[in-house]
Amino acid sequence: MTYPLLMIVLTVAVSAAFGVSLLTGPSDIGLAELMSSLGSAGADSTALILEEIRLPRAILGLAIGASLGLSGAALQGYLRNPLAEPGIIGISATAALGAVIAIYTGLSLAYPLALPILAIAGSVLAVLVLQLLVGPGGALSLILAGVALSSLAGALTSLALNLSPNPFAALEIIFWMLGSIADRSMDHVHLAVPFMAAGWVVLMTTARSLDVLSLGEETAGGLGVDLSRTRLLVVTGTAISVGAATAVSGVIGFVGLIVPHLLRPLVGHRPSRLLPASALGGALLLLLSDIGVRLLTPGTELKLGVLTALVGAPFFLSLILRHRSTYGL
Amino acid sequence: MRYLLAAAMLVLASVRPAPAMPQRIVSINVCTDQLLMALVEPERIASVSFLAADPATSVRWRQAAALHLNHGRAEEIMALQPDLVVAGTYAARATASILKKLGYTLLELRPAASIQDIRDNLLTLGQATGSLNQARKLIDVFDQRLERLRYPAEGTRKLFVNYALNGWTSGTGTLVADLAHHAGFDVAGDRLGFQGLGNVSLERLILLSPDLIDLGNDWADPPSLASQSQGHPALQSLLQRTAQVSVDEPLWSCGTPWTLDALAQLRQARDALE
Repeated sequence: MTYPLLMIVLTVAVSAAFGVSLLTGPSDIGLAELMSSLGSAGADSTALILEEIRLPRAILGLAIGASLGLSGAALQGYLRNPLAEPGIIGISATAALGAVIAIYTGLSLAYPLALPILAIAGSVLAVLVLQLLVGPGGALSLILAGVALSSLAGALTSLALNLSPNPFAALEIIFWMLGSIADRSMDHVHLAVPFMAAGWVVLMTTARSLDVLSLGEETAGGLGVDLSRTRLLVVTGTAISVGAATAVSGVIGFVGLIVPHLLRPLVGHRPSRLLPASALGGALLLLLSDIGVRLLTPGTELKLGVLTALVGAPFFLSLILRHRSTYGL
Repeated sequence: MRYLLAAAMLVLASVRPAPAMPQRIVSINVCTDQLLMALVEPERIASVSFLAADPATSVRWRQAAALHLNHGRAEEIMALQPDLVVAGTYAARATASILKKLGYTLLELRPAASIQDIRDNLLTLGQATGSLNQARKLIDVFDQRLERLRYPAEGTRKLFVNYALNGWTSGTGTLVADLAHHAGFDVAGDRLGFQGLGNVSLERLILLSPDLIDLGNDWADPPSLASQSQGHPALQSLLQRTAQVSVDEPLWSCGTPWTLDALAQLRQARDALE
């Protein structure tokens, strides 16, 4: 498949999944009703459900999936490590910790922007810690440091929620650990999507450097790639997009791992092509997963992270098997 | 000598509790606490649970504040040397079973799931505490008030939804449903077909288009995702075109004589919808 054809196929698939997401829910709303009510500014039940419940859900599915897919591809390209992914190396978990602090202290009630900003601060912190702990090319140590970071952030999140006097807070540990975009609102879209989009722009600027970097660090340096600048861009772009995504959805794992791996052979292993393809692929995977949780268990919805982990964890294991000899795992 | 003996026996009789008239009654459940306070004079109540003194869970919290409060633990109950322990059939199960094993007189009352259950519980507790007359008196007043509040059976029922945080709402076979029926309302469970408590998504709630909504306690301080979900624009938009009522939760979280205050509020809201 040629690259333009792949991008067209992915775009069509994402659009279709977006449409199906709008049509999926406890009430039967047909295509005709969907079209007529999206055009009008009516206040009837159908319009209310579509515009205030399903539309934000579909937009968030698309944007969060794109953020995870894109940052997964960028991290794998920059670190030249096939196991790098925001969830696995602890960026998502620390972002969730930042979001939890913002929400349960009441800070986000006074300043709504505190929610994405603290979550982004959490992911920046994670990246800084990882860089301190992991030397260049340390595939195994990156994963180990990530596991430790994830566990620590997860424990602190649980602690904060258990200490909250609000009786509902402890139940919400599940949301932050496993992720969901059910019953989110347009407020969350307005809050998170601009940050995510900014992160995408930053990540896309690394495309050419990542291409050159795939030839090896020395070659790249010789060809005039500023390594520290590339690192700053990858780190910033990932932190902003994943931080903002996690602030409104909790931790959704494995999307950034699976998508770049599936698409890499299709784009001729070129990072500059993998980045946009992974953004679309991530959006598609998350939209489909979110449709899946609504269809599989209507009423009491599964958390999104359950579904992505059911697919992603075996995939992760098979990757380890495949790369065992390469990385001496 | 005979007179002395008789006098001594008289004193003994007045000191030792007659089995039908327990003098050191302990309740370890917030619902039985309130029934006990309704039926029995405070001198005979040795202790009620700490929840009975909390305005968020108990109607009689002022009255309970003057009594000894327990936390439902077996050791502290034993130290009180009760001659009757009253418990619910769900809460503090471990304590109840230990006390029973140790030979304490234990009365367990089911949480009221209907108005009839309130009468039954009052009678059962009245019998066990020797306050049967007080129970009968309360039930008479209760029934007269119920008759005055009852919505005429031939009227059409509107839809009342108590929409608590995270979408929890009452189904059929609950006290709230029975009260709603008496006030001229169906509850969500009647329309969607579920028993007990049920979870109704925001989308389903909008499709039900209820005539009256009670959001209950919002637990807004400190915040949680659940409390913030009440600010969802779709819910706010629904509330703008729907009547709202705010029933004080202790009134119907336990079935007590004061539960009719909740019915009165619902009935008033029903009349306002005509």
